[in-house]
Amino acid sequence: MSESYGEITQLLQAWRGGDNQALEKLTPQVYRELHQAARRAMSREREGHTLQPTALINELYLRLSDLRSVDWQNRAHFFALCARQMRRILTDLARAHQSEKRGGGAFVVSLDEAPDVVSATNAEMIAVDDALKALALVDERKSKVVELRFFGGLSVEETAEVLKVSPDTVARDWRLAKAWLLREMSGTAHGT
Amino acid sequence: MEPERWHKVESIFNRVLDAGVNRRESVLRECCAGDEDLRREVESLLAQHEVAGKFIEAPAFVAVASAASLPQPRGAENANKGAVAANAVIGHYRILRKIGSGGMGTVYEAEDIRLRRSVALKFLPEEFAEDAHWVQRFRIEARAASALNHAHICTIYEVDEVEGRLFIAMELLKGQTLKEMIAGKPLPVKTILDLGVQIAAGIDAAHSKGIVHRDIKPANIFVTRQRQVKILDFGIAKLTRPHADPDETASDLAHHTRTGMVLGTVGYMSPEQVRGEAVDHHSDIFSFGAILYEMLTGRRAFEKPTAPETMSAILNEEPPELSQTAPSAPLGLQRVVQRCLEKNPAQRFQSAADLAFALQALTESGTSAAVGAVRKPRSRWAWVTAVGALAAVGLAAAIWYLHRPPPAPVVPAGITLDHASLTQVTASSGADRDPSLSPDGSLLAYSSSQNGSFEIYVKSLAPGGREMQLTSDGGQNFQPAWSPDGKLIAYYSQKRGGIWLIPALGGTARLLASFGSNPAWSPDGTKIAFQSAETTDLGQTTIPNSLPSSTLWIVASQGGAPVQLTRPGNPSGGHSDPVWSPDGKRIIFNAESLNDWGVWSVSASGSEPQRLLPLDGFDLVYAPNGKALYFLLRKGRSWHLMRATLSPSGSLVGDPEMIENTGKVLYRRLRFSADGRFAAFSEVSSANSLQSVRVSPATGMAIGVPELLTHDTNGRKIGPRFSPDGKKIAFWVGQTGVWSSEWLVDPDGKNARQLDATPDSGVLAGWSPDSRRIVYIGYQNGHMTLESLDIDSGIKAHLRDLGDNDSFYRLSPDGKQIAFNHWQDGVLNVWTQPVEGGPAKQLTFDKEGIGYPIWAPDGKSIIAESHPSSGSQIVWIPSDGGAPVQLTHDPGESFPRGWSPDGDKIVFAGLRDGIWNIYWVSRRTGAEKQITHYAKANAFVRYPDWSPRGDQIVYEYSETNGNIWLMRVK
Repeated sequence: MSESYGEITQLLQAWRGGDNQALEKLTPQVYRELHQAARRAMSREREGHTLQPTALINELYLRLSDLRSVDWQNRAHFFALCARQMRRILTDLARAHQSEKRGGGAFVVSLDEAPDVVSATNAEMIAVDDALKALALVDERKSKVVELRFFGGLSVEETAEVLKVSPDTVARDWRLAKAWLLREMSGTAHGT
Repeated sequence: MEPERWHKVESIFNRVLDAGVNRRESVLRECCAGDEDLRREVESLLAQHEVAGKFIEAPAFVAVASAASLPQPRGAENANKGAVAANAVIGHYRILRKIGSGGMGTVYEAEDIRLRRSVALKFLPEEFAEDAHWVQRFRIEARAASALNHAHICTIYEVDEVEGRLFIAMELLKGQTLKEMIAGKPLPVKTILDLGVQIAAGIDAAHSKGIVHRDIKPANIFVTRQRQVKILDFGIAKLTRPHADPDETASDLAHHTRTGMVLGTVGYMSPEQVRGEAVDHHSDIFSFGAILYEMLTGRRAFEKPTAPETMSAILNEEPPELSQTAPSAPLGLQRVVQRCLEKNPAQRFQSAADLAFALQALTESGTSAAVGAVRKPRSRWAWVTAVGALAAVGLAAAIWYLHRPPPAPVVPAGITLDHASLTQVTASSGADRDPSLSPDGSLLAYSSSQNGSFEIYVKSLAPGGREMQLTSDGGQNFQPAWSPDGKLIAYYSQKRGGIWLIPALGGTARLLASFGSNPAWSPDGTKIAFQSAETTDLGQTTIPNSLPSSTLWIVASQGGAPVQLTRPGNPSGGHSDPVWSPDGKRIIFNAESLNDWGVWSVSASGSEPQRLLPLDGFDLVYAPNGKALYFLLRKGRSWHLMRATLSPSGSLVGDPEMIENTGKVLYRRLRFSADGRFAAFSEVSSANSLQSVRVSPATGMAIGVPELLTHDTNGRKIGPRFSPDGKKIAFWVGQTGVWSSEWLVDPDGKNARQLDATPDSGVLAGWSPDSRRIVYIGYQNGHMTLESLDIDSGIKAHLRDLGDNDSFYRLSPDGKQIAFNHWQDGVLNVWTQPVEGGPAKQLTFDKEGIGYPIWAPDGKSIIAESHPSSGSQIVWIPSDGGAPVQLTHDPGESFPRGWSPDGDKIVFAGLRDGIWNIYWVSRRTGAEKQITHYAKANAFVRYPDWSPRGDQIVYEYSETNGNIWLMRVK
């Protein structure tokens, strides 16, 4: 952890300094960190501790980097990056479990990483993920709003910062996106 | 979608939602003026918005993490001792996560390990379980409630107690309660009507079974994400609320009477409830009125700072005038609410059915242009939900629909069913069946049990079109057929008998033929063909209906004596379901005997009957252009809609082809409009259960009402049989599309389990005398076999192979002999044989046929069915041979399956006056007694068995329901 901690900070600083490739290099690191954090948090839950409803990514971000050393622009990008990674982690876990239930298939994540009880929300997680892909084709910003809010755990205000729109716009996007996703998930025909 | 169009959708969506709730409808209309697709698009999103609730509001990670643990209930200090851990196994349930808590306990999502389905488990607070009297009452109520099987009532699977913890297992729902949906804001009128009709239908279904809710309130009404209403806690709500729900307002204090009875939520109580009087179904109607009021205004009808003041207002005050509080609500709806809220029960709607009808009428009277008589299914999913709810067809059908093969390419027949245009046109909770389209395709006639007995209805298929009840004589009227000139409808009346004619737009019915059923008009409208026999088994989903003696007849539509068209025996079997070719020259029909089944064609003058199809197809119909024939065919585990192409002379061209594999769903009675533009069919399915009725061992008379033994309504529950020690009942579940299997259940309905070692087995032949093994019919290498299975160890043994011409094997009580049906020269008779093989012995020698043997408890005699032309009769035969003695004489059907333990009474499923019920006949006195009193023509009972202790009769009950669908023809 401490090793990658330092590496991430360095990459973040490089990125801040204008090195766009640093963001790509950052991705696997962030993925690993988030993954571990998610597993820790889950096993902690299973031992009966109470989950603090603090947005996980905020917590991670604080742990991974010195907030004060990153300007707003980069913080927003980092949030977006984390949200994308969280989406991958959670849906991978869910899919791994689904394919286990079907009796095999290629696992993205090895099974012992996926807590049994995730199954309760597996189907919904996967359904949201799939619907979100379809939404991205229709209205990319709205799909980002959902990714940031649902998978990234960001507030309306934080989402607005990331997307550089007003909180009111985020709220409206969110409202329509939810309806659109629900309709998509319930298999409703639409549009001609 | 084009970005420009999506932008438009978005901006209208926002404008509508930003408008006041009562202006939304008009804003939507304005913005979408003239663009129907646009309006539908926005509307479908608005509909989802309404039910979105807390969907994805909690971040994904939190949702996953809370699934991983069960958070402590807020503010509940006794939570620890009551908490259930995730993954804990309680009974045959595995706990997955907590989904809610309240005054009446904590609810978890769980998996039923045995049935592999998701359920909700509601654990009642532990203090309940300490009161034995209360627990007993609760169980009785819950058992009654679990008999409710309705699309709009949350199904209770079972009530059980494990380690002193009482819980209810029920249907798992996703969505939100009406309370959350209202949240202080009025709902759009369209939504109110949509939900209101569903709520009323659910309440009506319970009332018709004598169950009153007593605590109807928004928190007890659940709206799923597919916008299907599910009423919670029917019959038990009043027992589960000794404390106020923590989230209720001060005026909601629940009240105990001295007897410990808990009254409903104060704000929705009826005046008679407030006064502490006995309540009946009128009380629920009042509470429902209070809910309608709240949906219209966003405010409670009776809302005062304290409970006593609220109660006083319910008794003495009218709620604020709707003309003031909801001025834009349609006047008709305001009146409906007022009538529900009458202080005097006698002045309210007299039944929830009336109320549902009033709301439905408002829906159809065009309160909104979007709500018409013909409803485009809101979504593929809504379609599936409707089907699933009515039919319990389940996911397989849904998956079939979503992934069904593309429509068949155009074929020489020149007709294609346009499945994309599929539209549900009736939606009653009963059985809507037998569609017939008017010649121009604008009107639909059908038969429906929506108001009790089957009557004929006519419905306009134009948007906003009305429905009219054409007959109302309680005559169990079926099979309407529209005359080619569109002026008359012919139909079959089961109760009044024969074929009747009635003007299509209402008037007096007149008798055309005093016998027969299944009328069919000749294309020129001058004649009507029909079958001579009644349609005997209207509850069946899959069997064509003709008794062996049925023949075809023709009567002039102006009246006169009917003329016989076909002769008995040519072809053999019963002749049924005549259909005219569009040129009027030929009539096709089904011919069915006990061992043969075919499709035949005869000229309109009755000459040259010829076998048209070497297949057991049924529900035949000509394409309107006469170039093809459509019919249903059962193929292995699913149903196929088939098409046979015809030459100009009417003979087959090539082999019939499948146009649609409909999976488990049945397109019954596909019918075309004469102009060839539309096709309608009824989509039927049955709910099947094992039921039990307590009887006095001394007199054999029923001492209670039928109770449900099984809760999964999928699949026929065939041949239930008590073990000799009376501790278990074995039965076979046969279901289209699924492996069949043997099941076991305790006589009290507990511990239902599938015996996994018997995939694709057949019916039960009997039990070993020590009650340890069942013996059943298996299939190996395409042949029937006799297999035994140890019910504890699961060890199987192959006993012997069976003859392909034989059927209905039954094991003698000592386990040494089998009795069975044997076909010889097309006639059925009973034979016996030692189980291990050896010479078979013919027991009966009847020329008309005797079959279906059942051994007496002492093994010394056998009862069986004889099949004379007037209906089956029960005969008694000594098991070592001798002349059969006829025990029943009623012209209906009598299917015997069990004996009283003393060997005197024979219990049977009997068809009397068109209704199936359980009866027994005494061998000693010849007396016949009726045990059950079902009254539905769309239901049947089968396979009654008598418990070895003589105190219980168990049998299969099946009810067929469905709706009518319409599609275009290209």
